[in-house]
Amino acid sequence: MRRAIALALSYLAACSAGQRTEPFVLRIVSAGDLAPLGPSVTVTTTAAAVDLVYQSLLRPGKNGELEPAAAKAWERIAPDRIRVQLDPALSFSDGSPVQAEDVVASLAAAGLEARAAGGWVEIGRGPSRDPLDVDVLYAPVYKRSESVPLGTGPFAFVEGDARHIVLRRVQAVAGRIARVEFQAAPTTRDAFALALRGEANAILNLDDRQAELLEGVPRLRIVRGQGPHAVAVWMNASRLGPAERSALAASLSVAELARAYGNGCEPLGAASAPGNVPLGHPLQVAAPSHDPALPRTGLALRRILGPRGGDLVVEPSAPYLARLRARDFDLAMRTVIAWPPAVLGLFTHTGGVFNWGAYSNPRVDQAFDRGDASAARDELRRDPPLVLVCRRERIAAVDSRIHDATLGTWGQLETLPDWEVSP
Amino acid sequence: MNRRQAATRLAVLVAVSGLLPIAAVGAISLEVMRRNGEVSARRALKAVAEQAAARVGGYVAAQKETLRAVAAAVAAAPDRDQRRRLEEVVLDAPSLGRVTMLGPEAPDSDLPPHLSRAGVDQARGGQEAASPVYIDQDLTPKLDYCVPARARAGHAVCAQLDMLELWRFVQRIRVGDSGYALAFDREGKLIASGAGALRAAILTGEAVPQAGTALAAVRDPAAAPGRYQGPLGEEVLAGWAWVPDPGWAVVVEQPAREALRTARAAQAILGVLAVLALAVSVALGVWQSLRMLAEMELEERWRTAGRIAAGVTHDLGHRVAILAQTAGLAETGDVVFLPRIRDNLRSEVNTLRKFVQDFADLSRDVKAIERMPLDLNAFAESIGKTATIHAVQSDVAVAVARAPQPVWVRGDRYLLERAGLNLLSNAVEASPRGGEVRLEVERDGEWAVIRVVDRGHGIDAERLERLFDAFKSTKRTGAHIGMGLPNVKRIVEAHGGRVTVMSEKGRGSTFQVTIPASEPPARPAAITPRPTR
Repeated sequence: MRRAIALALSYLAACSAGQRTEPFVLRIVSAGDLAPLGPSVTVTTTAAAVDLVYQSLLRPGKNGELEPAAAKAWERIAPDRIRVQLDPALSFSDGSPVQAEDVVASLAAAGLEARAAGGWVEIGRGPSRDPLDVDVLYAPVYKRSESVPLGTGPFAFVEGDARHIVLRRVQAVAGRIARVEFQAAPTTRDAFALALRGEANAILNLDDRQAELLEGVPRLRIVRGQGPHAVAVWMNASRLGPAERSALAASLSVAELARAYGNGCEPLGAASAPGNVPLGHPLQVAAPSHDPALPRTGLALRRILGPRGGDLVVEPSAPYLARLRARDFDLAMRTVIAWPPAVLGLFTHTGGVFNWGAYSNPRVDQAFDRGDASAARDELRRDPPLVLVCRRERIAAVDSRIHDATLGTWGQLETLPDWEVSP
Repeated sequence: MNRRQAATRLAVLVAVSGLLPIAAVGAISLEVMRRNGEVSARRALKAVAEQAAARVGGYVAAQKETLRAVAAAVAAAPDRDQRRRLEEVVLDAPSLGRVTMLGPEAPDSDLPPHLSRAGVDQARGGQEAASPVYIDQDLTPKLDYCVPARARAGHAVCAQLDMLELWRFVQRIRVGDSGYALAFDREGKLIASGAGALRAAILTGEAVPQAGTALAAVRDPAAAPGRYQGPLGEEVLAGWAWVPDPGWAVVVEQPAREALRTARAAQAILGVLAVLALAVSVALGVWQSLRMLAEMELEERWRTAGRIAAGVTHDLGHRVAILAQTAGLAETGDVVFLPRIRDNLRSEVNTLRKFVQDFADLSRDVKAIERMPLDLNAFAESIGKTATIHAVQSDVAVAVARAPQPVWVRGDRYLLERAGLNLLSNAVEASPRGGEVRLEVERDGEWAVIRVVDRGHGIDAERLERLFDAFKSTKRTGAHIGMGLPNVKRIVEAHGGRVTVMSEKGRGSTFQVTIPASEPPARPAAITPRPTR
C-alpha cells in the first residue's frame, strides 16, 4: 500500500514538474496588420512588442522622474546636457556586449548629440526642438543586424511579418512567460472572436465597453491600469490669446467633460466650481471620429460653452489631423501624452513635434529644457495651451493563469517579464 | 446452529418482515424526491429567466419611451435648434446613441445602419420600426429604432439604441457555480451570453446548439424543453422565458449535476439514514434475541435438570427399594434366600449399568472424523448376535434379514450400535415369550434402511406423538428415565438420517432407521464386531 501511494505521489510530482517546464506562450491578438518591428515603432500593436525587445537608457520612475533603465546611472551636467554611465554587464539579445559606440549610434539615430568618454556617454540636444529628457526617453539602445535590430530587452525577435511577430525570452525564467506571439486579425471583431474561442490568450487596448464582452470569460482576466495618455481640450493659440485661453480653461468643468468621455477616464484638475465662459464669437470644436468618446466629449464641451459653442466638426483621423496642422480650429478634442510630465513638452514646447496649436511660451520652453517639468507645468497653468480633462485607463484581457498581471504606466507591457504564470 | 446464528436469523426475520416495507417506502420517497428535485430546480431556473426577461423587456421599453419623448421634443423645436438638440441627446440619454430626424428626402447615408428605407418610411407613416439586434463597430450590441415625429408630419426620429445593458443583465446572472443565462432574438440568433465560451458566436453570428430550441421557445415558451445537452457537452436543466415586445427568448441553464446536487445530497443522506436505521434495528434485534435466547436456554436447562432429577429420583428410588428388600433378605441369614439375593443383585447391577450407559451416550457427539465405512448387513448380524444373548433370557428369538447386496454407510460404529441395540432391547422387552424380533436391512435408492420389527403389545397412539422426546419414557418400568429413544433419534439425525415408528396396538411395532447410503470403500473395511459394554 505504501509503495502504491509513493508511486502515485511520484507520478503526480512528475506530472506537475512536467507542467512547470512547459513554456508559457502569451498570444496577443489585435486588429489590422502589424508594423515591422523596429526600435522606433510607435504604431499598431507592434509598439507593445518594442517594450519587450528594446530598452532606452532612461525611463520614467514611479513619480515621473527619470531613472536608469539600460544605463547604470545618469546625471545632468548642464541645463541642456546629461551624461549616462554605461552598464558593462549590458548585452544585446545575441549575447554580444553593448559597446559605447552602439549607444552613441542609437542616440544619434534619435537626433541627439552623443559622445562617449570613459564609460560615460554625454548627451546633448540635436536638431530636435523637443525637450532633451523626452528625446532620451524615446531613444532605445540597439544594434543593427541582418534582420531586425537587436535590443537589450528581456525578449528577442524570432520571426515576424505583417500577420504575426514572435518573441522569445532571452534568458528563460521558471514560472514566467517564455514566448510572446503577436497575431493580427483582419478586424476587431475577428480579434475578439479569437480571444473568446481561446485561440489567443491576450488582447490589448480595450475600451470599457469592449471589456464587458470579455468579463466573466473563465480563461481571461481583465487587467486595468493607468496609462500615460490623457484627453485634452486643445486651444488654438493662433486664434485665441493668452487671456482668453486662460479664461476658457477656467470656465470648463473637467468633471463634466470626463463624465462625457466615460471609459473610466480619471478627471484631472481642480474640483473647484468653473468660472464664466468669456464673451466672444462662437468657437468651432473639432473632434476625430475614430474614438466615439471624443466627439461626445466635444458635444459636452460645446454645451458648456453655451452661446460660445459653435459647430462641432467630427472627421476621420486624416482630415482631422490636417485641420489641426493647418490650425483651422478654435478648440479640438485630442489625446495627449500627459505622463511623465516632461513628455507634455512634445505638445507645448515651441516647435515641439506635436505642437500644432502655434503655442509658444519661452518660460515653458526654458523649464522643459532644463528638465524642470514642475516649473513648466506651473507656467502651463498660468498660460494654458490646453486643458487636461482626464487620464485614460489602459484595459487589457490576459490569460487567467497569469497571477499578477499589471499594465505599465509608460510601456504597456513593460511589466510583462515579471508576470507569474501557473501551469 | 449456534445461539448467535439463531439470534441473527431471528433479527433478520424481524427486519425482513418489518423493515423491508419501510425500505420500500423509503425508496419510493427517494424517487419522488428526485423527481420533485428536478421539477423544483427547473422552476427556479424559469423564475430567474422570467426576472431577466422582465428586466430586459423593461429596459427596451424604457429606451423606446425615451426616444418617443425625444422625438416629441425635437420635432416641436424650431428648425434652427433642431440639429443641435439632436446631436446633444447623447449627452442626456447616452443609450440612444446617434439620433437623427429623417424626412422623405433623407439621403441613404443618414439612414440607420441596419434599418431599411422601408422601415424608416413605416415610422414616418406612423408605425414604429425596429431592426434586429446587431453588433456595431465598437463591438457592442445595438438596435436601430424609429418612431414617428408626431409634431412634424412625414418625419421619423431614429436612434441607435445601445443594448449593452442587455449584455450586463444576461452576463451578471449566475446560478450556483456554473449556471448562466443566454438571450436569443426572434430568429434564434444568440444576442447575449453569460457563458464566455459562447460569446464568440455573438460576434460571428454562427448558430449555437440551442438556436433551434430558442426558435421554438420564441413561438411557444411552454414547449421549450427543460433538460437537454448543453453547449459544453453536459446535460443541463433549463428555464425559458419570453420577452414579448422585442420577441426575444431568455434561457437560464445550469448543469444538471449541479442543479440537482442538493436534492441528491438529501437523497443520499436519507438513504444512509435508512440503512443506518436498518443496521441499528438488526443489531438491536440480534442483541435482544441473544439475551432472550440466553434466558430461554437457562430456563430450559433448569427445566431439563428438573426432568432428569425427577426421572433419576424415580428410577433410583425404585432400585434403592429393591436393594433395600434384598438387603433385608440377606439380613435374615437364611441360605434359602441366597439365589434370590444373587438374582436381585445381578439384575439391579445390570439395570444401573444400563442407566450409566444411557448417560454416557448423552455425552458422546457424532464427529465426522469417527465415521467409517460400514456394511449394514454385517452390522445387523453383529448387533443381532449381541441382542440374542439377552433375548434368550426373555425366550425371544432375534432374526436378521440381510439385504441381497452389501449396503454401505459411513457412520460412528459405536453410536450406531448403541442406537440399534436400544431399539432391539426395546423390541425384545415388548415381545411376548416365545416371540420373535426381526432385524431387516435394505437399500432404498440413496438411502440405507434398517428396521426393527416386533410382534409385541404395540404402543398407544397418544404416546407415539412424543415417543422420541427426551425424558418421556413410555414404559415407566422403573429402569428407564426416557433417554433411550431420544438418544436414538439424536444419533440417527447426526448421521443425516431419520427414525420413524409404526405401531398397532396388540400387533407390534416397527422402528425404521434411514441414513444416507455411501459408495463401497475401495478396500472393504474388515468388520470386527466390538464387544458391547
